[in-house]
Amino acid sequence: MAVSFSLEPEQRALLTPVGRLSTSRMCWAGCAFCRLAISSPRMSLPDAPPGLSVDRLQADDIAWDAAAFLKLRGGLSIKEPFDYWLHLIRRIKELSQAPLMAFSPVEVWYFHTQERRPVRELVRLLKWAGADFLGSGGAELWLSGLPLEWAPYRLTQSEWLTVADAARAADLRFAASILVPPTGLSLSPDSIKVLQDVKPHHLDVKPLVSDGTHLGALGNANVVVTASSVNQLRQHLPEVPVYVDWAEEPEDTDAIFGSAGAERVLVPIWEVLP
Amino acid sequence: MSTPLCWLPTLDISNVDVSFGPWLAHRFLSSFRGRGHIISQSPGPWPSQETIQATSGGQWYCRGLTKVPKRSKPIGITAEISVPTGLADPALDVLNHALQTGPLVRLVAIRPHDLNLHQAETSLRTLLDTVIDTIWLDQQSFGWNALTWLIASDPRFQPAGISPQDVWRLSQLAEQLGRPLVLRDFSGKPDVPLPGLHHFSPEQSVPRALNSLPAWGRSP
Ligand code: SF4
Repeated sequence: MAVSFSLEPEQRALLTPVGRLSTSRMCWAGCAFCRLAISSPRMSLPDAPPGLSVDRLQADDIAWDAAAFLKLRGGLSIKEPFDYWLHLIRRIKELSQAPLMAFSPVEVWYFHTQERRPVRELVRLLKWAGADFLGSGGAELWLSGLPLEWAPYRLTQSEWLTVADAARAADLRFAASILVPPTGLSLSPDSIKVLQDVKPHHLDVKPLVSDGTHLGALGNANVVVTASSVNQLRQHLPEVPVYVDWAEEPEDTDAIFGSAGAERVLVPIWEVLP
Repeated sequence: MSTPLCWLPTLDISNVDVSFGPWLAHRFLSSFRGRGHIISQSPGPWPSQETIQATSGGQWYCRGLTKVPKRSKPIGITAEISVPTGLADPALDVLNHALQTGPLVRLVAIRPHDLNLHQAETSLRTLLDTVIDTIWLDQQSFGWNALTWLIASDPRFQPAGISPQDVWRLSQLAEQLGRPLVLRDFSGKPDVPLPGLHHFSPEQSVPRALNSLPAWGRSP
């Protein structure tokens, strides 16, 4: 496979420092590419360690001002009910002005099935609590044409689209994530059509970092395949901005992904765990 | 056939004590079956080498404005310069000095830490168009992101200073670019083609452990 580019020289993406807040590290879903979760059984966990507490947010070690973007996400073995997290989101919004991505469609779907509450209601409440975006996770495998066995409990296309529709109805912006394997992205016409139809606020390109996951043998996606994937997305979906979620060494990524057409490079600068 | 991506295993013993350097060089070369490149202060018994002191008939590794006496005229020169940031850049003086001393056969570029990638790229391309047709980019100062990017954007760039444990990155890149990866030195012996990475494709590699989810209940 040879990767190809068409470059816009001198174009720079905005390096955007991201603060990550994890609700819980316990998760039963076992996604093969996950670098966050501690596997746990799928059952109610009365003894599970509590999730992120409101008190933890007050700690002095959190550099709220340094983060230009916040993400709240975590594993699916969450002990606290949905309403608790609304409360936490409100607290986060009091502490920081940065746009907050709170809960991906995967988590919304989980609360939907767990608490038997309509997706629309959950999404509306997230918006009410102050979330600026819905997280991008959930669609990466089928959008990128990767084996669904990598994450058998992730969302199907129709589940993901249900959440996306609800977000649109609630006027809550949402993104779609695209997982880039080290061999490069091959977008199917189907995926392009879905993305053209749902019009996410942006595309979250996630180069696979497989160290320490079940997919270790595949290796990591480097800047070259990532840039060529960004390029591909820009060509097919010129009106949707592309953000690159770059978890490794950020040096030069603004220039590299910028010339490939990305608008932002999201670089994690801190993470708060429960 | 597209230009091969070259791995030049290099050992710089110019700062190593003379009693130890040759032994180190020997060990280094023997780990690549006698292939590999040595940079030393003065000539040694190595098939592929450059020396910091210019010697008559040798390959001179030029890092600065050292005067070269007429009688030790090298037959080829490698200039190691930092990427010039403008016409008044001292790196260009070093380059001119090298060009005036003898034929320039190789150019190794070091990236100044505050030079952004687009500027570095423009400057390097100017050198490619005017001075020499291949530039070796120093991995340490460029960083992996910039290095892979530049090599992908122009086949006239080659990587310099790649340690054996990082060759897999070149292998990955060569595969992405559809170019062969070879081990090269300047001994005059032919390039050694290096095998590609063992290739796991996402389509075939359903991790076995996933057949028995949930993960916590996996049998050993
Ligand atoms: S659902 Fe999220 S936290 Fe759980 S395993 Fe998958 S990626 Fe990890």
